[in-house]
Amino acid sequence: MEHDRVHRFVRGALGTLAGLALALPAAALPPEVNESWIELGAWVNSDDSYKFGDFTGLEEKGVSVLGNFDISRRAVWDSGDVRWWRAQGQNLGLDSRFARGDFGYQGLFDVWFEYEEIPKYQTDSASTVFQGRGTDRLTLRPSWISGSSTANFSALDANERDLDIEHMRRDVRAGFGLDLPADLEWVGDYEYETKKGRKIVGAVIGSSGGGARASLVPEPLDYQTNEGSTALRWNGERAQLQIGYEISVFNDSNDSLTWQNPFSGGGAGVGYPNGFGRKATAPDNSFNQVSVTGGVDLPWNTRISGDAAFGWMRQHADFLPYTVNPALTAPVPPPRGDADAGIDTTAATLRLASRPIDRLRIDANIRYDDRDNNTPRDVYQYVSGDALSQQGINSDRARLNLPNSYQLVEGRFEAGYEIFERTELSFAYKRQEIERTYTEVDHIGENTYEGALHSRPLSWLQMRVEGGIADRNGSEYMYQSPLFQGFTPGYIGSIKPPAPLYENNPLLRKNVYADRERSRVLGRVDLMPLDSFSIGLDASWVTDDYDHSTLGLTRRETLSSTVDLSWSPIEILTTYAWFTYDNLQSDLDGRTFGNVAEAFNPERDWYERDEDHVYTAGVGAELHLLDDQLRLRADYVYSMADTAVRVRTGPALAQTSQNFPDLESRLHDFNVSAEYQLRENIAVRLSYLLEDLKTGDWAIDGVAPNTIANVLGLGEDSPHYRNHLVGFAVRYEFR
Amino acid sequence: MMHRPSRVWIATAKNRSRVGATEVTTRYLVLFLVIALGLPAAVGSEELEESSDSAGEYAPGGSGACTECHDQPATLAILRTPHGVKGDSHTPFAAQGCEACHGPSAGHAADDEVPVAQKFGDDFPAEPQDAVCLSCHRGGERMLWNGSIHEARGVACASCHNIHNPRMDVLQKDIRPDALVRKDASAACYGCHPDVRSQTHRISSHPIKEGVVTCNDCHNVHGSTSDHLLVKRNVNETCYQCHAEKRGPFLWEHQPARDDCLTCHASHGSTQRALLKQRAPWLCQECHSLEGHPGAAYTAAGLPGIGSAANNRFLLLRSCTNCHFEVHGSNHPSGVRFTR
Repeated sequence: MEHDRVHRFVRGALGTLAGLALALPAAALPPEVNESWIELGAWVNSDDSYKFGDFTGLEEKGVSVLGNFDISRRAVWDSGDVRWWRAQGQNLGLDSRFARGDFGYQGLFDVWFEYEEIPKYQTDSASTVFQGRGTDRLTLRPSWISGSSTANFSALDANERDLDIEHMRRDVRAGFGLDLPADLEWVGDYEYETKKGRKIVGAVIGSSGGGARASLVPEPLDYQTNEGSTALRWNGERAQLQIGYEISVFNDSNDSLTWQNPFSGGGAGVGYPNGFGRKATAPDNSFNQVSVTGGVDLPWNTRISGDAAFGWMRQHADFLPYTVNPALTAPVPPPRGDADAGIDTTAATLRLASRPIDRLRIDANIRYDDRDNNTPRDVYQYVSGDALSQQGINSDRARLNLPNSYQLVEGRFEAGYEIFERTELSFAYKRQEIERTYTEVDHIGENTYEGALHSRPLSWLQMRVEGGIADRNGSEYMYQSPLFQGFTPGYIGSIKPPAPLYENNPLLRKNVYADRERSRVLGRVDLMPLDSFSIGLDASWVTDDYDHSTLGLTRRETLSSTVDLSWSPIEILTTYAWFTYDNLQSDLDGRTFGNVAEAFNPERDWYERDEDHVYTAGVGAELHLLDDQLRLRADYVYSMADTAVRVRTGPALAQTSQNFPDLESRLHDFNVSAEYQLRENIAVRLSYLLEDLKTGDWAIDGVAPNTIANVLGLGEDSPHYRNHLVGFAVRYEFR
Repeated sequence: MMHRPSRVWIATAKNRSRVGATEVTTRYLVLFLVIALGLPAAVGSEELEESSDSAGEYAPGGSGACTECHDQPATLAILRTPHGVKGDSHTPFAAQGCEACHGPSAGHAADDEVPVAQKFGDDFPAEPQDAVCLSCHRGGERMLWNGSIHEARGVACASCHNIHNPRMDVLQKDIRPDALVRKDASAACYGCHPDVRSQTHRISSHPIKEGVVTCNDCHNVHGSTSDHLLVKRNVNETCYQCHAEKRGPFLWEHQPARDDCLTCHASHGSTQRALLKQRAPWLCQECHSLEGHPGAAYTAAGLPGIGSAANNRFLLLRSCTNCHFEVHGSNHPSGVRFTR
């Protein structure tokens, strides 16, 4: 660990130097107009904490280099010299470093380059018994003692090793813009991103019916993504046009993860020591898209604009075998060597925006979004969980893939009229129709009606209230669709009563396409009674009711309200405060059943309510003293969230109704800084940050790796930390 | 005593909270309407300062006439910005200088009681001031500005941008010397979208408050073709910018994920891990109600130390994804149940 700390510090110092090297050429240029500074110093972090380091790179206790800069050069405005140059760098001493350079001849061209690192720390409180972490093959030590349950893992403690789950994104980006004659412009950009590290996945061996045994294991992440786009633009006075192309190519250096089964039993070649499981990782894929976008100004203050794009997603990663278990029989191979997966996308929008007469506003919009999934459909006689030999084509282990397609057509019309000076009343109507394939509902239609009143009757008062209702209905809910479309005719024909002729309970309505009524209200008031004082009040409420759903999500409601204050009582002091309360609720109706009779027995119902109460507040002040020579700043944010999960069971269910412990999180974020201008171009800054996070989650807290009988866990804890971060820096300003 | 709720009780309880929320909301709505409609009528809307309609003559002496009075550093700073580069024929200062944007203002130059032809900011009508900006900046990302939600709501260019500022900080990944480790370039949006600010402080969120992700990484605030002003044409294409491994297409599609990432995820922040709107098993049970474990009731009786451990694996750790991990889709020929 000490070696890692030194390594990180050295890396940080080198990163700072490299970044500053980017700035040096600018410093060597003759004095010109600029807004430039360089800042060097150090961070001192009080404690190790992966959550504190999440995205910031401050996960370790100790000292880090503080390095930031922003240097730009531009000639005096009337010199005739149009060259400009800018170099920026932030957090150069941390693993969240960012650097960018721009250069151009204004009016002719510009080029830019960017480098960024984004660290993600998921957990450092985990442990694993598997060797080979970070690779695509996980095995157990010879000292491992197996069993049919985690309770039998008597050598668990001896085999556990610490496991950090983290990954790093590194992005390199570049781009250009070129001004061409005849109002033409050519732009382009390219990005290369790598994502390396580990993530946690659930890895199960065995099939349902009590035979499944799972482990949470580390899966290697080694992704590369290449993305690029270019566009040719014509920027005319009354009309504009853009033709564009973009491409994204994703690669995963690993095609699978193989792990040794820590559990015993389960049949030939399934259990320890010879049993292995193998799962696929993210398949390589690509996306290409061509587009054309344009707009034209018409008489009567009217503009028509539109966009059309044609894209194609492709994925041809070779299939893995049905199973990695050589003891199982799988005589029928997959019907093809890869999925030959493809989705062709077509998106189009046409918009009319008109202000034909004073006070009247008309906006109309038509949108089309089509995703045509042309992945071939075949029967796959799969092997269940690397544990059950291949079954026949008329079994429930022979499945057809369902290449879902999607098509949306939407039209929206809005008209607004200024009924009084600076007070507009508007109404809108939207009709949306969606068609899907291989789902329970083929077609959905939704009507949305909205109204809004926006008023600024006084220079210090602005108000807005909006409301809307939407009514969604679909075609007949074909609850048997997943069965009839996902299984072979031979299997379906073999189903005889009392076996059910459905997968999901016939009374379930998936909320994605269930009939729904949505209501929405939003209100906002902004007051600025004094130049130095302002208040903002904001409230919104959205509710989705699925009244036709006997089972499934029946209601979701979100309420948010905010008060914002800012006050500058004297010129040298500014203060602010804000408070937001959020309440989120969802209601879910379910039914426990094991046969057709029970499926229709309402006494076997259960009800779940999920409710979040989230309170977030911020307060801060900035004070300039000694004729702006001393600048003091303080900010504090507090966030408190409680999630209550309540489940009630019907009279026919054996389980007693009990409330889950509330899920809690408390975040205090306090920071102060003082900056003193030593000389005209040198300032020193001292800063202090205190961040305190406490969270609790009954799903992981106190859950040891062997708490669950047939799931081997990682023993991780909810994140919690209290970190003190002191920063000292000297800033040199180029003047 | 075992509590045996009936559907009637549950329905009543839900209706009670529904009625309560509706009543409160209706009261607020009525209050707002009364104020919004009544106040302008009652007090007469104040004549907000309008720009001059002076005769369209440029001031003799050009920008020099303006800077005789407007010589504050914050005003003159425009000469250190791209708009102030005289050598670029596209800029205001290659043409009429200050009056290229503020309009012919000879009247104002002669008599400061006469307003300048065009002023900028929230105190002035948006359309005429936007027309000035759009006269040059109509192409590219702004082609779909007209009819976009910000334009329709009267948000002016100058509501967010200040071209006199050499930094033009708004919504750009920019460096401020007073930013500690973190910078929040999204702060400009929170004035109208305060709910997003609170979401970014939840236990699971995109790194917005850390400044790694800013609003304009996902949203084109100048107008776009999709709902919520996304930079791409739909939600999923926007998410695939950073999460390309989720694009597929897959052999075995998980239809809600193929449809819309926001079916399960809350993009700004959530109280649940992985930006989920709801936690498993209940998130999954919104769409899965089969015989056996998918449809079963999971109560706190399944927690360790409380009751039977039989349902531990469906509640604890990753819940459903202890086994069914590949919920975004699977390309394994045996992955129909997302276990491979």
